[in-house]
Amino acid sequence: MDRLTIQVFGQLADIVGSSTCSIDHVADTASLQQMLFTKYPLLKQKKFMVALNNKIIKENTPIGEAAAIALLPPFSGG
Amino acid sequence: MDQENRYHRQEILKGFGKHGQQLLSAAKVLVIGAGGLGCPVLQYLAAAGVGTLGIADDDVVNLTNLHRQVLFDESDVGQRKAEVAAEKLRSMNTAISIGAYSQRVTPQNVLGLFEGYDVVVDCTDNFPSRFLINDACVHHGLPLVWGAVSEFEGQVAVFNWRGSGNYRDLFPEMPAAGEVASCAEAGVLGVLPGVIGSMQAIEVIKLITGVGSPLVNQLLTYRALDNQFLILDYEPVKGTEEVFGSRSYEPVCWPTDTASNGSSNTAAHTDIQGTTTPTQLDWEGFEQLTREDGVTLIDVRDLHEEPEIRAFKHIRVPLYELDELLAEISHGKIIFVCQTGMRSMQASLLAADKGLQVFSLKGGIQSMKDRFETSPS
Repeated sequence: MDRLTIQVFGQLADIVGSSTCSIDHVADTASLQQMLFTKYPLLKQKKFMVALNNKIIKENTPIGEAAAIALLPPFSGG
Repeated sequence: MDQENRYHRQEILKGFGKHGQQLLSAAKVLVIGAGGLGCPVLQYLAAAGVGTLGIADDDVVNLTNLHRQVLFDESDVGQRKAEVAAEKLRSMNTAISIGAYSQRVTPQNVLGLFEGYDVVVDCTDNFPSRFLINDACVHHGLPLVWGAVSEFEGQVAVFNWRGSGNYRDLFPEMPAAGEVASCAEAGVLGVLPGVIGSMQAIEVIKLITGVGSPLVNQLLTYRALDNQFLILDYEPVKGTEEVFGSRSYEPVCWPTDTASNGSSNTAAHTDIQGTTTPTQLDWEGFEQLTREDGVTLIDVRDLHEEPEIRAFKHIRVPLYELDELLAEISHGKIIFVCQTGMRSMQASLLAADKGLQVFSLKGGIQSMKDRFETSPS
């Protein structure tokens, strides 16, 4: 399967080093999270949402091919 | 002045009409925070003819506000934001009624402030206020138009509209202080809250007039740098109990804040599990410690951040690259510094996990710039 491209928002991009990152395809969002934590351990200390195909995911969800994934932190600024 | 034609251009809009204008005129909207988001929200709602506007903000106008808080000018610096904003809006539109509350929203006063309003707009700049306002809106059954910004990005949502999801469906718990950098720390492009605040104003008008479909059970994100707009759907968590009154709205702090108990110069201590607890240093403690041998000073700000430290020997490693460096350090004391003392505290916690003796400068470089910029004599 193709690699997954992930859109990274806010200061999460500082951890990942860019506003997009790419990882090997994983089966579901739980594996995605695990893979991201291994690759970017500082993410473990951040609260963020995972969106899969424009839907915010709370439970483990299978990741299909050509999935659109985004990681979104909360913002407090006003 | 004859106001007869004032709203003509929006009254001729399809689906809006004179009826939409009447609904706006009868509406009462409370805007909390008169900063980067609050200014455009207030200006557009006043211009649109929202009949009653409340402004709650306990802050005064600061020179660093002016690049984004476009209701204020140089002569307003030092004045109370709520009052200055109210005065300017009154001169914009004499037909509407405006209330200024120069107070911070607290668990004690929030329900009283909400009394009589139909819609609340969250334009605050910190998580405790945001969670408090959300929970109070759920408790009071008021819709909440929410917006937030950081650097070049923003988010908008409508919460608690006719039983819809709310902020805690997106973020169940408050991030710890320092986990997410504020605008004072990370910066914000001046026009960005203008975009997000304008979108909030539109959502308010949609809720009041029934035009279009508001961002209910959706979060909109905007990234200015590549013009990326995303609308993300979410499902409200079913059966979540109402939490107002059962939660603390104090900032969630890091484990220790020794400055508050007066022992800021004591060394970090090791607890039973063998991990150490970071100590926050005041300036004196910091200076004293930098004179000791075997102490490493680490600046964890991003490489572009200013001012550069000239007064102390140090190494510069951005927070997100710190892990690699820490793997190489096995002993000695480390002092972390950053712009405001938040990221340095986070760095301290990372390092403390590895059993190192760690310190963080409270208040950061920003609070004592001159002392860092001067070259050692």
